[in-house]
Amino acid sequence: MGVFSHIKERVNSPLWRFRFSAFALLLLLVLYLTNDFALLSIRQSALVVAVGIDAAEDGGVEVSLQIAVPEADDTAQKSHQETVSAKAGTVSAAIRLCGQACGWYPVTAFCSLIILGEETLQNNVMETLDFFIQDAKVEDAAKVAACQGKAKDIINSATPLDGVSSFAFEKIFSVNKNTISTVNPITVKEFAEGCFSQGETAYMPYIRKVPIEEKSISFREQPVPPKGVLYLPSYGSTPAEKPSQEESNEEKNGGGSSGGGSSSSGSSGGNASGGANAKAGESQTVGLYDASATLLFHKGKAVGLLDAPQSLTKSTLLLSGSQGVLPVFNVKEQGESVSYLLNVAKNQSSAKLSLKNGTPHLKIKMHLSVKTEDGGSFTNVQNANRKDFLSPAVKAAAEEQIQTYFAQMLTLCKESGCDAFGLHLQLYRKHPKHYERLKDRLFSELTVSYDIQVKELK
Amino acid sequence: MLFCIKIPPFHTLTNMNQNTVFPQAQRNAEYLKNTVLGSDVLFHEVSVGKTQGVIAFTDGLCDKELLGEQVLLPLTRITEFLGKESLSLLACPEVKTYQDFPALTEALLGGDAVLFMDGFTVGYAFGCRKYPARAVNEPPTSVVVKGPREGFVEDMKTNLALIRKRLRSPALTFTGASVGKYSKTPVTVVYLSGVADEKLAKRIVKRINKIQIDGVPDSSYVAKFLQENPGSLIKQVGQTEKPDVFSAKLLEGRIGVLVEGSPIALTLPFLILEDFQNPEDYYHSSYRSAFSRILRIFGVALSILLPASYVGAQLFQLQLIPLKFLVTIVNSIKEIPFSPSLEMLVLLLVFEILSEASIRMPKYIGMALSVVGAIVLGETAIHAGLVSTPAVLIMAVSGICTYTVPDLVGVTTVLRFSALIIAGTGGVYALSVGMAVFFIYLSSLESFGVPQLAPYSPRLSPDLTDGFIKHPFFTGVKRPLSLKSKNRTRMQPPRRK
Amino acid sequence: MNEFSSSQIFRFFVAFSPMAKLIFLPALLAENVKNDLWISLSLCFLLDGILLLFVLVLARRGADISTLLLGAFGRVGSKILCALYALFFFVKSFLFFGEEGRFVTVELYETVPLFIFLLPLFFVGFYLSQKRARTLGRLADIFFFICLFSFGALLLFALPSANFKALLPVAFRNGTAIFGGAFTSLLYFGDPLFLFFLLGKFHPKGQENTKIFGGFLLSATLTVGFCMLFYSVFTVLARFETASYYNLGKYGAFSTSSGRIDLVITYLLRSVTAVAISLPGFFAVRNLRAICWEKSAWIWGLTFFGALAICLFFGYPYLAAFSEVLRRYGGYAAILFQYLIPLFACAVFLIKTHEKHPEKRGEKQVLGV
Repeated sequence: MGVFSHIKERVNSPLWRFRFSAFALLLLLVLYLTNDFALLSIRQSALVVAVGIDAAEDGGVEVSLQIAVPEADDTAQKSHQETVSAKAGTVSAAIRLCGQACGWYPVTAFCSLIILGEETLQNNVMETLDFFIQDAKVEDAAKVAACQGKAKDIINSATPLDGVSSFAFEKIFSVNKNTISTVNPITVKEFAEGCFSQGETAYMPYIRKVPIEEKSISFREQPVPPKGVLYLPSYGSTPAEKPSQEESNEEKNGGGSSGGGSSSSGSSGGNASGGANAKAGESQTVGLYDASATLLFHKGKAVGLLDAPQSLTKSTLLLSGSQGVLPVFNVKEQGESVSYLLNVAKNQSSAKLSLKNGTPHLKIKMHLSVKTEDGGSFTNVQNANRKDFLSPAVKAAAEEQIQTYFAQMLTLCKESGCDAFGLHLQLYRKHPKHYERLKDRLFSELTVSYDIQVKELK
Repeated sequence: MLFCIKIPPFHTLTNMNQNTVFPQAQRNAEYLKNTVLGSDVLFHEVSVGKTQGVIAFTDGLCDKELLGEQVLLPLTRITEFLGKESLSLLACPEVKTYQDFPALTEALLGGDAVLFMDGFTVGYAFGCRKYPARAVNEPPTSVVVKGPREGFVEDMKTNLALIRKRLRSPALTFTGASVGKYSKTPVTVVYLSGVADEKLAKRIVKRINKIQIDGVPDSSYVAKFLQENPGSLIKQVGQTEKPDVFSAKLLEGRIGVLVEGSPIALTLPFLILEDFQNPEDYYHSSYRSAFSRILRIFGVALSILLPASYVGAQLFQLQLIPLKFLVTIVNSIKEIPFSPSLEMLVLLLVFEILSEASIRMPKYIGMALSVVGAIVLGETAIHAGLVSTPAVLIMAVSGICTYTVPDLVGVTTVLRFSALIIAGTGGVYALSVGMAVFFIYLSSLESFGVPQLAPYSPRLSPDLTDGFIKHPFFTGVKRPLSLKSKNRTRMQPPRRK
Repeated sequence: MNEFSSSQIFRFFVAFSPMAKLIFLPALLAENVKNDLWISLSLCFLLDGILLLFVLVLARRGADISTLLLGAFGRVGSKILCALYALFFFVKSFLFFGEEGRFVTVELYETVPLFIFLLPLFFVGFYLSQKRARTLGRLADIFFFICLFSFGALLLFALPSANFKALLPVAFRNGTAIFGGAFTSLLYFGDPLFLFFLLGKFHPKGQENTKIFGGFLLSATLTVGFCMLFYSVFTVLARFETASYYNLGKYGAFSTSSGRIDLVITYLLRSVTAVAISLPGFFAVRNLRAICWEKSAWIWGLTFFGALAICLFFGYPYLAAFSEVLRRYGGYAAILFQYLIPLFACAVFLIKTHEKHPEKRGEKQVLGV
């Protein structure tokens, strides 16, 4: 006890307290200056801004990381991209291999885009994407999209919009949430939620390369679906043109890069040096890409494809309360088929499931208040378009068109097994008692009614 | 601290064997000459009728002109010295009578003139003091744009007069004490009777009387004795150089302490909030004052946390920084040889050195050295690739923000370095845990029984009218609850129709 | 100013009560109870509310913790009980510190060793244990506003991405999971127990009991509301979100365009959490001082938190297993120590004061708790 009280006396004395504080400060200073914790500071880190995932030949994955690298410039405003690829059995292993290859530690917290190559769509994509869900370091707020061909090519390419292609795609996917668009962006989190929900259905944009001699994007062009994916062309659409022999990696020119006719538009200008700065052993292409098609997934596999008009309709349904534009085709005017563009000012849409005598019934409601933006034929002043006037022909054509698109989507759901309308989830949440009974035959017993109204905005 | 007067050895003072005054004036003078060894103590023989006497005074502290006019001249007109009755014939209004040498010596060395007359075993001390003192000026540490510009000086009498000028009430109480074995520094405790907590005032007087120290060159020495936790980072005794501020604090119910030789008056109890208050807050509109106070708090927080957050984010938590900005930072630090933590530490040290040097350097070379500091150290270092631009910017912003609250410069500097070391060691998480420790520390601080975080912790709603957000003038009807004043009402707002 | 005011207790509940419950518990409940996690939490809060009511009744009657324990268990029994409570608080602290450590190393850091980042937490706990009880009230006054601001900001960030329909259907064929979830969560609750040990330090008058209970209800609302929001944002993925409010705000548009500004809120809440998870340790040290001749706070603080640090350091590789065991069986200990024993002591006191035996009201401050 004598020793104990001696220790207590020492601890309570101001001199020993000062010595203890000084020692603690010195220790802290040493730790501060040495930071010897296997610490990786900003200079040893690679800022991964996009990840491309392709299927490797041996059943694994090939991961391409797009790394944002600042240019050695006094203005410190520019950046260009580096792409590093690696193959491994899992995504996580491949990312680590990429880090070893470039000597930097890959920091995936800034990853804003994940692109899945066409071949990965043959399998359950959630096996690939679950790394991004479970790993705390990776952002599950990153956008996810599928692409035609290899994701590596997309990652490695440049666009006129930005020297870093993922930044350019970010602009395309950063559609205002209050704007209807053919581009239906989705985050990894939302995709996973869809896959794990009762309907086991999700979607993501499908990026495809625009045939280069066209140098423009057609709203009504039919996309080429990936293998095994069902596609019901919307009416009025035209088949895709086959790419010419000259289409190669020597493209230099480009134009806007958003889906035509949608309200999201890419800005022109940007860093023209983007095409010249590709490294990591790959030649960088400058390309034009279209993300207006939407892939539907069921149980993690791609089962259906929606083209631009169908994607726009889906977007209109999803974003009730939003504004946008609606192209209307095949309006009969003076014996001719004319196209119109309507500006949607108000949008009240819903797809509600109810049970009538135990039978599931889907009511699709879409009430649009529109203004005539453009279209029709102009022969004389009397026929000039008035924005506050919606002709009955246009109205009828629009309503019929929307109904047709919905019918096509329902057919796609029935044939592919996906639940694009979230009906299983609605059934589970609102009528849980009937869920077990109806979950496997929901679409077969489903009756549908439409309440589509397109009216002029007063 | 150097003293010009040779201090007699300790034992000669304490071994003053002779306590009472001799009846012979010359003998008293001889005794004083032997005991008080300073050559500035002068002796002058006087004759009052047939009685001989000696007058002693300290050259430099005693006003000889006043002594001559009020004491010596009238003495020559007296035909016979009769003791107290004769004193009434003198023109000096302040006369004290002492019978013992220690008190007489203290009076003599305090500036009084001491008269010994043959046949009288007392010494008469005449208040003819005139200390060398500077004029009442605006204090350099408390500059105001609008408001009084008087400041305390080193002379206590002047200071007391400045207070009396503002509080012409009989309730204004001055309680004197003497501190310092060699310095015998007068200390005055000031408070408003009926407003301040008189128990607290007595406690403070008692504590001052218990101070045992050789000398008190400045009020901060007394402050250290008054602090209940001397090792505290945050001061527990308020300081001010302005009589208007001092008077306002007395009116709130605080106790003030003035120390001879120091222009800095002390106030108790002290709340941390007081450092964020500025006299101009009460002279301007409340909206402006509220904005200024929030700006000060923001400035102090920025000063402490900005360098630490920058280093912590770079080293540990990159996600805190937006990507485009991060790319800019990476571009800036690409060629820098130092780690972010070392770079920031060096920059802050350089800033502190510049700051310290600027206080001490002569004014005529201040401009040139400022240019050296700004251009040479700043820009050249960046161009040389020794430091990065963001780091210099952050160092500059942090340094400037420190001076939004000049009274907290010392504390802010210590906290800034501590936060930097913590964040550089453990990241922003360690910084947030460090903040928790700091809040625990602040919550436990008390100044004479009053929690220093009042009125926020504990929350005293009536006192919040003069908190970090200054409420309109007429909401301050009551005195602060934290000061336990007996009389809480201090204002009656005007009645409006 | 030296006692707890009712306002401070109100803020104590709001500031500290939700914190330890929002680290890992929401994800755990989301895995087992899914969308009905809020019901499990509400059941636990119901038990806490019952205990709080008793404590407030006793506080109104001027009860003191020493008198209470001595009257119910006798001198020796009280000391044994205090020791057992110290052990119980050790278990709680182990769970809380372990979860916080896991959160820190998994979510906040990439490549750093564990212990260097747990050390600050132990220091906070040790430092807090050196302070007096009144410091808790003052801390609550400060942290209350930090919490309100943080939760409000999180709400703003998270609401746009919340889908409250994910909480449907309510309690559909999920009764066993709900009660099971409530049982495994009990160890995270019991905040009125802290108030129980502070009896004698606060004396509510008039309507102040209502204010205190209001604080408890507000904290319960915040916690349950937060968990509902959490599940609405993450839905089926909630079980993966082991740091509930760390990722809650990142889907807000503001944070995605300007960097993770929501992380500032996370770090603010870390300060509050550091204190909240140190509360069991604070009361454990007080209990240890009460039962032993050695009254020095720093010795017991060092002992308690040193032992905790050692256990965590060596037990960290098995933390998941330990936590699972604690949650599975800790509910029994929680029921006993958090509810039954305090309620028994309260009941004995009420009966004895009702019988008006003056000699039973003596012996204040003997235990020094």
